[in-house]
Amino acid sequence: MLQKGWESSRYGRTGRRGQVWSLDYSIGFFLFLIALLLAISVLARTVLRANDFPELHDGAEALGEHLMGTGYPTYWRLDNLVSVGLLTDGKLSMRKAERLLTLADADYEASKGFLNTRHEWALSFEDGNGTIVPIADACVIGSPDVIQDRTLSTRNRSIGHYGTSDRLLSNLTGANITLSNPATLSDFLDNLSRYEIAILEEPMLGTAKHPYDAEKAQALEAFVRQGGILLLIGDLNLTEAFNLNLTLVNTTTEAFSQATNDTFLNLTGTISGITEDEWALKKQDEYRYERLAALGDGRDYAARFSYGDGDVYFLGGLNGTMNATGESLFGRISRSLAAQSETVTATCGGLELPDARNRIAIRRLLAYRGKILIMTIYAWDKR
Amino acid sequence: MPRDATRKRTSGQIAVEFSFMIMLAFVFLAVVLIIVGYYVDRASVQRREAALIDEAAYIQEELLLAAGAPDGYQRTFTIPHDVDGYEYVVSNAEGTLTISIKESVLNKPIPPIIGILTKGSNTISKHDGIIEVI
Repeated sequence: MLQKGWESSRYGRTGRRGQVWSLDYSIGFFLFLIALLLAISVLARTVLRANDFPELHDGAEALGEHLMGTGYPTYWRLDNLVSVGLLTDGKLSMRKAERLLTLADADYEASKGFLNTRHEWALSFEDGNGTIVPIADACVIGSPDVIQDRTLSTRNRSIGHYGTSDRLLSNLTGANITLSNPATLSDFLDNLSRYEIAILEEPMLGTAKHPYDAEKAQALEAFVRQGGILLLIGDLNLTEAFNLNLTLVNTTTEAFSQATNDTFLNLTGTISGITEDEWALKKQDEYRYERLAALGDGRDYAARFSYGDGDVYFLGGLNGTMNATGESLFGRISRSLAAQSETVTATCGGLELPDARNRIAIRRLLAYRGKILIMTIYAWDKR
Repeated sequence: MPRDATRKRTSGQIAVEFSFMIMLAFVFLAVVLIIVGYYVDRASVQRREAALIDEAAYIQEELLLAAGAPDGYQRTFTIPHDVDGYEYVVSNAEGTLTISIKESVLNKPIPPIIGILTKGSNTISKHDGIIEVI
């Protein structure tokens, strides 16, 4: 009986001991297992990724090479883009930078394809004092993961005006815009690089007073090619510059505005009261030519086309009246210009790049409006 | 009789624990294989996609070089038959280059060209502003 009890007790002790040992061992083994799995996981990631910094470095260099070119086509827009570059005539084209910003904001992953890079990327511009130069309302172009410290504000675009007629000018004076009105065409052309929008209001180029000068025409071409907006009104004699085929309106007195997305001239409905001393444009073989108002005889009273990185607007004259509202044409154009003159900009504090496995920043110097800007290109690999 | 019972019970417990250990070892091995397999597979896909992007960029650069060159430009370049050991398909139509490896497909815009890009030797020439590939 005693032996039975002892045996019973012994069995019990043995059972408990075995149980405790198994439980302790199992817990310990599982903890070891988890630690080992984590170690293998980290090791596998590290070994398989190896050292990819040299590849990132090469990628950043290639990215810099791309951006320091013109891109393809040379004057690329978002709807015909093959390869991104930021230069035009060897200088930074702010219009191209703004287009790249639009592209990256709309589809960042697609922008990588146009830049031929697999890495994350961003770029910013600084002036000689180390101040970040904004591109439109942004301090950085590229990855949405970059945090930018910025304060948004509005600024007036710089508008230059020259012409023998000052109807538009008198209407614009007093509006909240930054307007320059040089006395001579030479002054106007010498200051073109300061303007974002240039207006030639019936300059009568080619007359005895203002003889046609190919050099001046080339200055206008360069202004538009490098991203400027040029509004040509009335008699120009700029045939050599933009291959404009102008003829007098003669008999037609009404123009019909076309359905377009144009907000610059913003013509709507019928324009009546067009006089015989105004001008018509025969459809040009220009890039992206678009008629804004047609005379009905195959000629155009208002049109726009792209040239280089910029745009040219043509308007036959300012005598007309907008039928729908009774507003004078020059009143309408002044109002549109005043509305276009204000744009949003940013004051940049700094940039905060996201956490990365590898990161590199390379710098390139660019000429822009007579100054040197420093473009910093950031490339990195996510963790 | 009781001593035999004790021996049997102890041996049985060891056997169960040993089986349990073996089972855990197999589970451990399976999990390790799954993790390593996952990373190997992911790295393989990444390498494949990288190869795809690099090859497309190489062909695009050749065509961009021709687009920016003056008339009379001629150059022969080779499109490899495989990229990093991966078999792939290359084609071009309407200003788009398409390269695919298995289920990965990459479309890339290219300058307008006449002719079809093929694996092996391709000769690019430019006359009257038109790029031709033979």
